[in-house]
Amino acid sequence: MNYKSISKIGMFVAIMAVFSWINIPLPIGIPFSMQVLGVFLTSFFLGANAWKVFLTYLLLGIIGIPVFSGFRSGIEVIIGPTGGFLIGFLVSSFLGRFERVHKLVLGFLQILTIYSCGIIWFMIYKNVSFVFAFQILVPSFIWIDSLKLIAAYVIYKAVNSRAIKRLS
Amino acid sequence: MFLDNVALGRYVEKRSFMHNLDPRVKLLGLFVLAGFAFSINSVFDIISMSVYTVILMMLSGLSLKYYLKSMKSIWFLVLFAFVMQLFSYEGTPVFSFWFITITDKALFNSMVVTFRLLFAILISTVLTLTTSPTSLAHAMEDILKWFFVPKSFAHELSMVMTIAIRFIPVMANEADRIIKAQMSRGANFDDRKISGKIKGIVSIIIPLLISAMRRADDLSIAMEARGYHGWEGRTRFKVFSWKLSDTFFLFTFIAISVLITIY
Repeated sequence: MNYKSISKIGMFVAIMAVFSWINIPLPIGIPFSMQVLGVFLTSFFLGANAWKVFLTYLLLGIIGIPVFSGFRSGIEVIIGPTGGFLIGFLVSSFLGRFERVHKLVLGFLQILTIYSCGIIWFMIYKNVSFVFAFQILVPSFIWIDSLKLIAAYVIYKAVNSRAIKRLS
Repeated sequence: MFLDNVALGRYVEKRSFMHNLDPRVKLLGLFVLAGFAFSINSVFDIISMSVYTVILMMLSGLSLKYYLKSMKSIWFLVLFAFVMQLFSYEGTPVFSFWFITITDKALFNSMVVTFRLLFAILISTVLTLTTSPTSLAHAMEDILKWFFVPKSFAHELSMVMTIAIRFIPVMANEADRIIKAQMSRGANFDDRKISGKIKGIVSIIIPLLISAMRRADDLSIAMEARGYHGWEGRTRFKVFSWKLSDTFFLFTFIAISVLITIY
């Protein structure tokens, strides 16, 4: 591990925190959080190192820095009902290891991972059936997340063509 | 906008017994305690744990309002856990009204569940209120080293945490500036259409990412120029020192964990 990747990981943790804060309300009432977008972008750009970003992100949240959405922090967010999604971020970032896979496919697999972690956590937490958890957590959010995946892909292409060439 | 003035962390600077403890023992102890809080299953456990938690809170020398503030986002969750447990139908009924029957067993179970959550939250709040984030990052590095995590990885993790703590406000500022700059150029984030929203988002993120990458590059050059070479031979400005009070705290939390497991 060299200083180049350390500084990059640190910067992406900071970006992830900022993404969790920016919250754009949609007309239908679902908050448009950019967290998932941050997950895609981090794994696209950092590849095999992406999981370190989310490990650090969760640890920072636990030690009381308000990195989670809505400026929340503390272990109570992770052991709360939607904490499964946060853990899902960490689990899904391991997929960044497969750098040869097409980014859209990678992102789709990440969506699946994040949602399954979220659903399993919610099921255990609230002691409800799979169908109920699925109905609450999936239908109204998944199409927005798919749009975010496409946006992340567009951003990845654009940034890659502009920044990486000049920097390295 | 909302991003340009963010208070980072819950740390409150003060002089007290809890503040003066070694961050390593605090981190270890409070995480062990928060973990053992989930094995509470009798009245004795609840009483001993509440006494201990209240003592810790008093030793931190902070007023109750800081703790209540940390409970603010979570009280609904605690209440929900309590109510969910209340309606199981085992045991003898103690209260019944119309179709609602509450049994003694259900009441007890919901008490236990509520207290488990409460203790885990309060104890971790004591930790975060009395220790600065940077010393927590360093303490985490030391503790990971004790538990046979590779030294290079432990150091890397705490280094990344320190960088992130330093740069979160910087990136928040940057994002704020970019949003304002794009608005002054006519970007419309209040577009009712989804496609308009996405266009707005993209116009923020691309400059933000590019500036972050440039910063990362600058930072790595600065680190190289200052002779950074990983964990080997690295020293700290603030050296943690193990005092008698740390040993005392270590013994008390081990004792209370053993007590909870036995009873």
